[in-house]
Amino acid sequence: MKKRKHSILKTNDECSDSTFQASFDEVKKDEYFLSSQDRITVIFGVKKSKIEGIINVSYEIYISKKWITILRFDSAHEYLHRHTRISLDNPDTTVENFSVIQKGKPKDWLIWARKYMNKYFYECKVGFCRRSKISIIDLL
Amino acid sequence: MSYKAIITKNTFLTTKLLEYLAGNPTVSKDIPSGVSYVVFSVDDTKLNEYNSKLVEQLKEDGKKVVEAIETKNQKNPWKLNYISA
Repeated sequence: MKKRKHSILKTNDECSDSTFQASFDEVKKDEYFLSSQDRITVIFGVKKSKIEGIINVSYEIYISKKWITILRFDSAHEYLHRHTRISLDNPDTTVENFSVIQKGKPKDWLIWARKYMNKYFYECKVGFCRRSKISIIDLL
Repeated sequence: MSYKAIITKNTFLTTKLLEYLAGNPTVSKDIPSGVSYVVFSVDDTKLNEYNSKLVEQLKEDGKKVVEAIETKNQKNPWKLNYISA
């Protein structure tokens, strides 16, 4: 069985690698609203009209009057990896690439990350609420 | 319609939209960066009622909103209606 590796990272809500962001001709940011309290933010880098890097694909929830990223993917360091916020009180994230797509191009990674969120966003929200010791019912 | 049903339907539709936009970058070339997309289903009126209210709320918050309206046209499966704040 493959051993699961992860690390804890003190991080911002978005990929903060400015060299990575500066390597693109254009950086595009879009928000996709799922409800008034849930949204997906997608930030990607474009070179010669092609998606060449995933700066951020994140699932965010509105809590305590601000948007908080609880799950995000980025491809800084040239591979896609996942950051999962520890809890409401602890903004650090666990970083891992276990079961994350490594083949294909950044455009494929973008679609993959989005489909991953389709499958796991609710589970991720429930886990975040449990770690934060808040009831998911309170968020509705 | 329950909260979970709304976000499940919206997450499915927004993925379809993102897949289309990523594969057809010229479709959104006139839409500036930083907009908020809200999707509208071709056949789910209850979801669309909820999302219409969401658009109004986002406009009140000063967001630049794009209504992404699903169509039955396979060549142009989305109609994008950009509403600047």
